[in-house]
Amino acid sequence: MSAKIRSKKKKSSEPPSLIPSLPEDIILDILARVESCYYPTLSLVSKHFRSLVTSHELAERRSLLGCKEHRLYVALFNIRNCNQQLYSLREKANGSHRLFLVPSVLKTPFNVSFVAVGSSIYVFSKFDSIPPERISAKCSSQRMGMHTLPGMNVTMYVSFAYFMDGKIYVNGYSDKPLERVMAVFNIETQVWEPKKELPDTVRSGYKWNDECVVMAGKMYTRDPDNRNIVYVYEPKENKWERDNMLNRFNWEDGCVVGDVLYYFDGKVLRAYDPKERKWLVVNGLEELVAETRFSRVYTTGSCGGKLVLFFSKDRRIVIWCAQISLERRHQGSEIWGKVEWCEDVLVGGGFYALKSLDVIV
Amino acid sequence: MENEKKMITLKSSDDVTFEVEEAVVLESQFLSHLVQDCPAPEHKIKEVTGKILSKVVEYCEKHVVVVVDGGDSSSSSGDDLKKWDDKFIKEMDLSTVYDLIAAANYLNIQALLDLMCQRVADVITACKDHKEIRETLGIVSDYTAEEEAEVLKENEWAFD
Repeated sequence: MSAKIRSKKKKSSEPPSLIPSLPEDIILDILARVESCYYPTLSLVSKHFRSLVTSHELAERRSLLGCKEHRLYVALFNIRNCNQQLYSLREKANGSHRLFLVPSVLKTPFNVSFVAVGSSIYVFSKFDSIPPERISAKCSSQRMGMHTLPGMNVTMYVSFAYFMDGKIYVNGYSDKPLERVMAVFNIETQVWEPKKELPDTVRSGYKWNDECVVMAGKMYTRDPDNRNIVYVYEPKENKWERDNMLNRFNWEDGCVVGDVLYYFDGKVLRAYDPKERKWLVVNGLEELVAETRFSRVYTTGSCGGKLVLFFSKDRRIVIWCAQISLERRHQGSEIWGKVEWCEDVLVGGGFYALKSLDVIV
Repeated sequence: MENEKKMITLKSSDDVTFEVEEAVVLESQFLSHLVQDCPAPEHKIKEVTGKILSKVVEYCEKHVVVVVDGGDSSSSSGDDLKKWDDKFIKEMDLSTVYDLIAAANYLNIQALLDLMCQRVADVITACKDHKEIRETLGIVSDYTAEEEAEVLKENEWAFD
């Protein structure tokens, strides 16, 4: 079948030695060095290339060579049917950015909580009867593999989940005795550990607040019943304390970049550094703030050490995204942001960004 | 002092000979073992032609850590070496690159292999589409028109 194509004139100077003559192992080595945004193009080259691009071997080779790329996934909330769907933020061949729907992987597209760990996204349904799942982004460039996790050992309604110290902590509440509970899933062993005992002050209560971030190995969350209380949880000693600086602002849609919390309130981007216990305003973003003037919904995310801001325009029909690099100046007393790009990434729909996930591919 | 250095002769498949210092040979894991196991003054490398072997020798001579009298390590500095590498690969056509990959793989010279693989990867990313990649790399498509359309559909998000 191949003979006819080879004989096309013009290419008479074709060298005898060609890539197909190289050992498979070397071809993998070469493709592993090509950025993953070229993989769709590579799959069109030949069946052989397509099978290589989607292979485990290539993924392994990439991590062996240290070719790690951060990819941002974002859960969008559809205001028409209240479903959540995962999209990935990708750079197109022409350099522009766009959100692409991840072919449906979710068993229950609503009321789920996501956590990104390495190259996986863990999905916890808010209803206790549905077992959690792990979506692996590694097995191919855009197809994602699904794995069902062992069922939780605690009967609970999940409020949110977060990753810290090699484990996923799932916070929720039970209704038999109506109280807050916390389950722990060990990533390495893929086993649920005995649930963590909560101190009385934390346990007594019902839901948790969605406001939750992890900084420098500690989890911060606000008490939903009393907005003046922000709990700090330290997992190693299983210690709960209160933080009396973080309760000063509503950082619901905040994110953490380099152990610093950032959140956008529509007028400024604020940063909180837990080491210095100090709030700062990020400088240099006046133009971006002007761009977001008529938006109402904002979410921040972190991807590969950069901050990403999603905002909706035109009555949530268009989602915009800005990628911001952050720099500390004057011995760290100031933080400056630089907008690397800012453009519409999804047009049409009626969505807003709920949560973004930094995944390594 | 010059004559203190041990010289080794490498002979290509087409009988071109290269006289190099032992340190240069040690850049190749395959040749280090060969020289240790069989201390002959001349080694024939049947799998590599003179044209390619001269490139291999040129690369290894540049990359070898030369210990000058006085004990100074005068290997080229990182930046200089990188500039040299860039020039080295830019002057090469792809057919030579493939031959060098095969030679570096056979002789087990990891740094040269890495450099050459990166060069092919850069060539791939410089192509404007899959057709150009095929043409450049000499790949014959084994897709039928229908199959290709299907894969294009699967990946259409990336194009438009």
